[in-house]
Amino acid sequence: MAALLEIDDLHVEFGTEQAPVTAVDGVDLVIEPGEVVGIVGESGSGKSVTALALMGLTDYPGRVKAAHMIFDGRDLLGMGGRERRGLLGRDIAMIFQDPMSSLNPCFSVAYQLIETLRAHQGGSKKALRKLALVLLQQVEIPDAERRLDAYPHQLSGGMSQRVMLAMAIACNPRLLIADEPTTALDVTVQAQMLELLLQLQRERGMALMLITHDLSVVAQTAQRVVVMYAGQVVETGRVPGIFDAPRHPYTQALLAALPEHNVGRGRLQTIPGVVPGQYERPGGCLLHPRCAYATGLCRAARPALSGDGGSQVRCHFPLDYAGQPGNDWNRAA
Amino acid sequence: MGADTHLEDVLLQAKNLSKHYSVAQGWLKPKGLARALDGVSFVLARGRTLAVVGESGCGKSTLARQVTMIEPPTGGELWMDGANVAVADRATRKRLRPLVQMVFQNPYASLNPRKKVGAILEEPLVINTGLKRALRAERAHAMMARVGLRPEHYGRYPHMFSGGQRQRIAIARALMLDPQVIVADEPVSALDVSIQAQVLNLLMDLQQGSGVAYLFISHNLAVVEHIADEVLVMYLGKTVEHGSRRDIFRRPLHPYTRALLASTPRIDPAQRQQKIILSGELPSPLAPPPGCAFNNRCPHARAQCRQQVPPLQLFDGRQVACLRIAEIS
Repeated sequence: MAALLEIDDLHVEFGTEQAPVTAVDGVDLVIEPGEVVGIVGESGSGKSVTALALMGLTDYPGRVKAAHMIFDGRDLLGMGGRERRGLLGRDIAMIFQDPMSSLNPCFSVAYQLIETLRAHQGGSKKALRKLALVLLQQVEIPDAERRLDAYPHQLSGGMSQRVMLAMAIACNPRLLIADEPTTALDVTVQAQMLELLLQLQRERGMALMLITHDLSVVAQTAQRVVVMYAGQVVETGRVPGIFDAPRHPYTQALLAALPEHNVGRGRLQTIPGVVPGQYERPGGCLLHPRCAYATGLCRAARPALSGDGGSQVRCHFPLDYAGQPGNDWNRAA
Repeated sequence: MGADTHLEDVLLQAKNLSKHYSVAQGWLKPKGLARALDGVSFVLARGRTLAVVGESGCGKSTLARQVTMIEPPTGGELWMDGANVAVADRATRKRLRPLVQMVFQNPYASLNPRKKVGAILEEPLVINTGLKRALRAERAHAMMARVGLRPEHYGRYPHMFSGGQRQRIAIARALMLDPQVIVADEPVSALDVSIQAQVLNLLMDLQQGSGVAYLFISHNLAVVEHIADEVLVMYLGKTVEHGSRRDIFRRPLHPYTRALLASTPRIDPAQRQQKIILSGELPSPLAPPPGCAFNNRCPHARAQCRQQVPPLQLFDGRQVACLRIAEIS
């Protein structure tokens, strides 16, 4: 099966040409049709910038470079602006973290929904309004008819996110990018929203790229996980394998730091230090100042992403099933 | 209240604490009454952590505003150091205020960007004590060491720090007056996972060292399960379940508590509970449903739930407000 999305060696840089700030540093990403892929990482790991680059929404002075970025057999970087805009919102749609600020407060729900539909498929006013109503019903907004003429300030957070989702699925996208779709919502509403996202994803067979910092959300929804750290992919793997036996020390440490994995223990396990800022990226492996297993090799040379398509890891000494570093780590340390 | 709570250890006691706001609904329309906090009672003892859990709009932040004396309650009693805050005069409230300090959710908004860390930490001392400059600086340095900040951070501005370090500064500021109670309103929800663990550890270490009590407000049940001794679950201004952490997490009884726990995503499939997806969202506190406030979202609701307000009663070692608790537990 041909991949739906294939990104190869994506770089996103900000700042000047002479002193660029690399937000995304050589990210490869493949998404199959109908697949749910979770992208996890802490703030500053480059997960949102990757999604925005894919959508062509990188703000000036950001520069997007990639070996190739192919969606459904078409090169996103090679095509013209008009062609690309035709694709966005129709075949690739995105929903954002804060539903309150991503809807325009000056226009009604119906207007904003119909705007999307008119831009991509057109039709009579009446037909479009009917379609908008159907969409609101599909995202399970109660009393949808009345909500059509509501303004964003009259909707709760969960309701606004449903409207955003209705807009995103309006044109039957093949790929839906959800950037922290539930972070601003309450737990019970988060559960409703995730359930709805997965239900729509299954019904429509669309691929879902779920960007989040919450490992447990990914564990419950995604089929495959991409872990990012400081602009790089450090590990990819299938669920639940990656959670049972993570191969990268960062994934292992992130999982160990969750309160869920420390029940009954007094202190939580921590990762010392913080994610390196854009100007303070260390040499060698980006994780080495925070890694429990770092050796001289880790400080000197940056590891490459190795492994096959299903499971990849960027580490000189990938962890084995017992959670211990391999590749003769004992001798190197 | 745990059995090991002695009377002399009680730092704070709320009895039927209420805060009702009158809300203008438009010209010539009668004013609405929002019962943001409606008869909540609890006891907070030295060295203990009481977690207040609930969704946005359930009244947890209103509770924090009462306890920190930002606003006076409209009903009930709040006892602290032998005085009832609800009816106390200005002088008494001024005396009590340093005993309760607060840590806010967003460390990017809660620190003044124009002040250096040293000035931020010393401000409570300037206002509440007559300490000389050198003594204040000494205290600030000692506190920075306790929360894991380096001495050279004293002269830096907040923007030079990461989120986790800023939250350390906010915690240090709250501790400067040596308070008995710290109200922590979602102190780790703006932080990354790896940083969240560091800050939670810090909070627990500080508690062990000083015996400070925490009123820990959070919607993250995984964090609550780790840090709390007692859990108070709120819904629309009322307590729906209140008990020890063990009881509530091992065997939640109220349908709302159960739904909250079931909605919390888990990594380990074995820990995931049967999904209870609640329909709808929190109703408006201006027009709560009649009877049990939870009845329109509750899978167990019957006709009686729509007529009768459930009292908070003792059941299986904790307090629960549910009419059908005996049948559904």
